[in-house]
Amino acid sequence: MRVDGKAEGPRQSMSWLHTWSSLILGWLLYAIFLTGTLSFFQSEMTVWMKPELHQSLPPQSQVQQVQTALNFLQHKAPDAGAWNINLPSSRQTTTELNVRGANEDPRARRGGERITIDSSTGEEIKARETRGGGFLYRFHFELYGMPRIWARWIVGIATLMMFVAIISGVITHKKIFKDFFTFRAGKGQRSWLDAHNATAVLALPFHIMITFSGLLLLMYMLMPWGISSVYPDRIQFLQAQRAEMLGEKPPPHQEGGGREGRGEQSQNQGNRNMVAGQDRSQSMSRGEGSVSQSGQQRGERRNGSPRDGARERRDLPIQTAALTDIRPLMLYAQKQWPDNTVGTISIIRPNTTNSEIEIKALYAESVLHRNVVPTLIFNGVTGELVSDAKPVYISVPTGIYNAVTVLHEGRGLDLGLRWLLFISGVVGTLMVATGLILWCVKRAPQQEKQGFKSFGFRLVENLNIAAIIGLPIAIASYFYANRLIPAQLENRSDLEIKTFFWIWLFTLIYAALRPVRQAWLELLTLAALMYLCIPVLNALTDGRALWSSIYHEQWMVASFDLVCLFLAILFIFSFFKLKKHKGTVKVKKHIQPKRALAEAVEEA
Amino acid sequence: MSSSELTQQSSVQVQQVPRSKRASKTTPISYRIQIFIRFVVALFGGYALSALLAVVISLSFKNTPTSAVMTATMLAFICHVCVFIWVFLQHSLIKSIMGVMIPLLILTVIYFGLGGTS
Repeated sequence: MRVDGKAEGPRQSMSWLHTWSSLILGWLLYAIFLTGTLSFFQSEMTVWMKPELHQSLPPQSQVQQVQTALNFLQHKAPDAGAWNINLPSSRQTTTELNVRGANEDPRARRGGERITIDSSTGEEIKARETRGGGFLYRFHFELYGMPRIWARWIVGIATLMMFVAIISGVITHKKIFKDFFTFRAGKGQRSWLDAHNATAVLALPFHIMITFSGLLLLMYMLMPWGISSVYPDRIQFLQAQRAEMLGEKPPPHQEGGGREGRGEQSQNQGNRNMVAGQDRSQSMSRGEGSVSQSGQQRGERRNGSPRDGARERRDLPIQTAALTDIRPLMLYAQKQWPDNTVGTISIIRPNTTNSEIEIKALYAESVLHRNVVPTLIFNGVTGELVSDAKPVYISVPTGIYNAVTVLHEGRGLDLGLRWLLFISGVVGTLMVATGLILWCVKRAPQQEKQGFKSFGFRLVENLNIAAIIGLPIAIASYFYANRLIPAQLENRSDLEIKTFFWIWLFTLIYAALRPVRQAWLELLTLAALMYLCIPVLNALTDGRALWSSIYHEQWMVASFDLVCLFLAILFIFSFFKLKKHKGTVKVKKHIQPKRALAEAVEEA
Repeated sequence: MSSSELTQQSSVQVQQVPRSKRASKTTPISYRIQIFIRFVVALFGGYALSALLAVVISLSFKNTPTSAVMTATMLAFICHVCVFIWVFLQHSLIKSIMGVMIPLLILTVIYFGLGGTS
């Protein structure tokens, strides 16, 4: 794409496409990448932002944890329609309970009263109101303050641009393998290019996976045409898919107004793939027993109209009956899943003759099993096993879809894989950052020759600063706001989010007013200081201090503080790197730490 | 106006401009229009093409609808990316547009052939 229209090779035109398709939405991509990467540890951020939850130190034995929860529930709501006990895990410090009323749908996705209890003492904990990590997670695909459909389209287009940039970048790259092992430090533009290449190639499979699955997660909105040409709506498609998985006959197409409302609802719940199912009461009357996959049952319940539930209850006379001892059931489940742990226990219609106990594992069997975790269902009175897991069939296309989206969302993955994804995300963020800086570095000599900075150049420079260093500062300020705004204040979660955006805007204005080099240096200092002080802030404002969290092995809280310290070191390093650099060329940021990080990942 | 005319014009313009500091920055308007057209073709034409591709694949394999639909949707995204690459890979503007339009026409014919309704 030369201005003079002279002939050029495919590599040159791809280089052009790579540059401009990346730049056009580069800052948005950076924000999506950074907040998305942090979202791999969404629950950790939320727990950190609710210091009230730090007090809970779960006992080792899961049986004991369940017993504590049951004692609480028997005392608090013995007549409830359903109890749901979410046990503490490596990503949860407390026991989360959900109590459904007698008239509520016991397997609905939402609803019920949520209660958090201390896992060891069984005492109820009321945490402060905050969006926690959920804000950053939502921001990474729905942005903020605009209709969510628009936002998702914008993010979808940005994702497509990212995909184009990746593919054109690979085509541009002549010696993709050799360049990966090449790093020429302190050579200006060359070093930036090397850093960009290294981060890009290092995590290339991750970049392709995350981009492609990002599009797939939005596919019902971005590309519904294939589905709608065969199925009347998305629910029907999901039902057919589930039927195929279980080896059942696909349900006949149904068209009618009754389904529209639910379609709407699922749209609201985001682009989660809800496995919609056939009517549960139907399948029970056919004598097949209930299917024992959690996602499906949730779907079934949600889709079964409330009337069915009511009918079911009327058919069976309900009398009170004591719940069976949970201990043997737990031991059975633990024996069944040697590599897994118990995640959730649901007790439907507790303390009645037709109570049911459902034990679900924490992790899925593999990444192919999206929304499907091993589940055991017991009779609540006699304690006998009602239903065991059935083998499921997953077709190749569904398998691909499941694998990439499960990895993207990090659902049901253990901590090791989660860290790998997180580190890949960090590398991806650095790739976008180095790419954006490279654009400026490459054009700096020309700007210098010309004697003044053109508007476009200055704009990119400023936006680079506001994005690359401004966003981490804004995120840090979000954490500060969380701890400094009084815990009892009304609308405090809104205030936290406002702080985030005001500080972000501040960095943009600051970058526009100061000379570029100074802006970089000063904002790097600010970022380093902010992240350095986060563990201190945590200790001072009711959180569990770092020494204590390490001592008690509360790694959720400890790793948050440690990651903040690591980031602070990264910023300090970049600061000195830039300060030392007196080159006439332009701003230099952290090459060295990037490389160090890349090497660390390589070793890991 | 054909693309060769466009490119000729732009090269002529560049040659006419004296090689001063400022002038080397100015970009001919025809060049900008050309890039804009390509962008529109890649974004919207590419979307139309990949959507149609998804529909045609979905309708072609009625025996395995779930797999067909899933595969079709996944291929559609890849198709869109390929269109983007194609449009900017071609030196000639006409060729790049035709590369999108002709498959679009063929797929439309297949679509109606498969009994699709407008």
